[in-house]
Amino acid sequence: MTANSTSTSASSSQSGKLDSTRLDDWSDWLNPMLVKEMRQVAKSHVFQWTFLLVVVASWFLGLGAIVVCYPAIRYQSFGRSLVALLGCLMVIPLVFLVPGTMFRSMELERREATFELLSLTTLSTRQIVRGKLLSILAMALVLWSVAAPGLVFAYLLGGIDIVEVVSVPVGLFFVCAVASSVAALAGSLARNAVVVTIVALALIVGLFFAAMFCWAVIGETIWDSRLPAGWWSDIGDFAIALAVLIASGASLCVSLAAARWMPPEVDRSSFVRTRLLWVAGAAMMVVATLSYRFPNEIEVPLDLIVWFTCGWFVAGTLLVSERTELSRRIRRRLPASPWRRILVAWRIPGSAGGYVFTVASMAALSATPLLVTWLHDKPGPGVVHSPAVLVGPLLINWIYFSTYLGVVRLMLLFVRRRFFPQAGFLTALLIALVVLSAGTLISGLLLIVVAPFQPTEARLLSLLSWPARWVEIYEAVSSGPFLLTSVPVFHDLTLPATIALALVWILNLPSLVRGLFAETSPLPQAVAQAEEAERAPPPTPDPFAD
Amino acid sequence: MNGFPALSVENLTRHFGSTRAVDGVTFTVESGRIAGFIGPNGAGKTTTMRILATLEVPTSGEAHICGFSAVDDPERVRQVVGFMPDHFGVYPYVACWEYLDFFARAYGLRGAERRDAVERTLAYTGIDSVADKPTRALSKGMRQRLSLGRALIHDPSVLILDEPAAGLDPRARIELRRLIRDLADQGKAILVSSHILTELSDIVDEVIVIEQGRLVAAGPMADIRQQLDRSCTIELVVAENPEGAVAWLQERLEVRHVERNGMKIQVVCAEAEEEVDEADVLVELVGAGFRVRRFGVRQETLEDLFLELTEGKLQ
Repeated sequence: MTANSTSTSASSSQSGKLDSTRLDDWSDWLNPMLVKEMRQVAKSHVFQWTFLLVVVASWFLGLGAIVVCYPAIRYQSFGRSLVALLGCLMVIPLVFLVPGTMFRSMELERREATFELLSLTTLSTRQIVRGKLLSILAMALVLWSVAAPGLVFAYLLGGIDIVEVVSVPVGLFFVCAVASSVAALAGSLARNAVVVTIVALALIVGLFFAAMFCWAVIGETIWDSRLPAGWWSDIGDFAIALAVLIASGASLCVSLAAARWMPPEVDRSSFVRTRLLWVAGAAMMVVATLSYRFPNEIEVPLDLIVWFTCGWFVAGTLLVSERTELSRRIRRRLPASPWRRILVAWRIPGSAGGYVFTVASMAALSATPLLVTWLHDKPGPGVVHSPAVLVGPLLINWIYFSTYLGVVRLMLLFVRRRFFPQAGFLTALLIALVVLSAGTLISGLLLIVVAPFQPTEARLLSLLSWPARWVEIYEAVSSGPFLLTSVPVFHDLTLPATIALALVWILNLPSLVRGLFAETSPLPQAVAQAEEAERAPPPTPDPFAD
Repeated sequence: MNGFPALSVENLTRHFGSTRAVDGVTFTVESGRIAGFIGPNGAGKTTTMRILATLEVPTSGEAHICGFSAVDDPERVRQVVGFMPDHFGVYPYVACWEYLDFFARAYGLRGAERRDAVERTLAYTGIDSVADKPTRALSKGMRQRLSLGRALIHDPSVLILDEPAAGLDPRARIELRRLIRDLADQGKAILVSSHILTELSDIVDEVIVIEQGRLVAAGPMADIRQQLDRSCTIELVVAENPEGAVAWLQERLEVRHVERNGMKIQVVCAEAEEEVDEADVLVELVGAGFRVRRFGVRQETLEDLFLELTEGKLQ
């Protein structure tokens, strides 16, 4: 009997060990950072206390709902209220705590100098940041799983359909993922105690507004009223496009956080540029859906192009603030042929490649609304929507965009050469603000002074102002049928603007050529030989050898 | 190995703005050898080590580990190099075995291979008894062991250790020395920096001395000693008449410098160590009537070499 029980316990312990080994083997498929962070998170006091509080609060809400509404619960439906309450409760851990943990995790990695140890391994910084984000999202899922019985109970109480019940955790999880991505970027910005404090405060304020937004949305859509029938077919495509835009923005934040952690010697801009293209693509999806939904509202694509241009200008400022001199590691990976260089100029890291990328992508992306309007072109009386009417605004916008960004780049190069060689993104952003302000305010002020006396000169002075062009375009749009002749493509200022752009390009040209055609650094002979030997086919065995 | 030296550095230069942290440094370390990397603070030791560990990129020059370029092929270099920096990063809630397990995964070890690596490293570095303890609960010595274990987890061919003995008690230092020697005996090339030169002198096969980013000397200690214009230092203690003994020695030898502290006399001769027959000097000194209590030629240590080679300039 004893021997039997011993063998049973031995075999059960053996099978337990086998199971744990199998589980351990399966975990090899996961991101190593995710495994480590999950182990760490599971042992952290913050997670343990949050878990406990969510459990207690869910019980309290469920039981409280029964006690408070007891007599009425038999004939009234309280599900909607309970789901709204649970949603409002979950906003606190998901929108505050989880992104806060992400920020702290990123910031600690630098403060405790563990990030350097990670850089020694074969993990890439992108894998590291992604692993951290995944572990944080897994934490959010665990917290939701605690509240899940409460949602089921609420559904059983009635008064709410399953789509609405599911939309609360899905929506909050989405907000949590986006907020955590932003927190990852904020955490990577931290270099010293002062910056950490400022960034942390800004993040807290941002998260507070995000939480307020979530409470307001839950109050509007779940607590107060149900979604109107057919809402999905009305705005579903737009909602998806917007969600994709926000998700690609979050993905850009994660990429920027990873890039922030990379040493400047490595190529940290190529994948950021790819993410920027994702964001641009998503933004164009939004433009396309809205243009499709409102074919006669010409302001809609124009509004979106204005907003998109603002965002892309900031992205362009980031990219032109990259280093001018490329490191050896990057130069050794550049194609040797000049034609291939020209072909992949937009992908070449550094300030020059950044400028080419931004200007080229802006041109390509401006074509999207043209394409959409062309697809929906319905000629006829009263229809003012035509691709032709958009050509002018988009072209003039692109000219101003390229000129302003070129000026920012020139000024940044000057500041680096003369005053501050380490000038980076923040300096570039400051210069961009100065250039924009100068273009708008100075010309505005001069116009006020000069216009009464010299109207022709005043007209030329207004050339500086990019926003003034947009005001003109909007005025033209609102003043009636928007025709090709009324747009500033043949405007009396278009020629001087084009000349200004050409001048800016000529001034930028030497540094652009230097950046794009930087000499490749040759591979050391020993390494080249070793690589050659690796590539060579293995020797054919001698069939006559013993 | 693939026919290349385990570790080679050629004309390595690294600028930080106008500061030349490393300036044209060249040296090699073969497999199974321990090279002591010494120099004053700010000499460029850590920068050189960080370049070798692929954490920095040189401004010019080359650094190769097992033939792989630290500039062009950092991914492959990381697979064959283990770096132990002078600080220890802590994940406070992670147990020691989890810490090693994570780094094993991060180096691409999978399944049984990973589990074996963790168990072997825990046992080899002697931290298996605290394997389940969180890293925050470890003593300084244990942390250093864990840090060494992290550098060893993927069984690298080259080990780069930056101040591994800093802050350790004497016993821990002796154990660490033993471990380093044992690792070299296994065929690993080891580059180790330390400010405690007496610690290094016991284990290193060769020394690399840098100052202000420039290489001052590199090679086995005996070779460096030969290259230098080495003088012989005699130390003796007399029972009486130290002035007379000093005068006699100045007559007998070509003396460069004399230092007297009571009955203790230290004489630095202009002749090289090989040219002075200390036994003859002692016999003649006793023959001249001086009562000598202690007599000997001072053995040159790594510290002496270091002081002679470097000027202590900071940058």
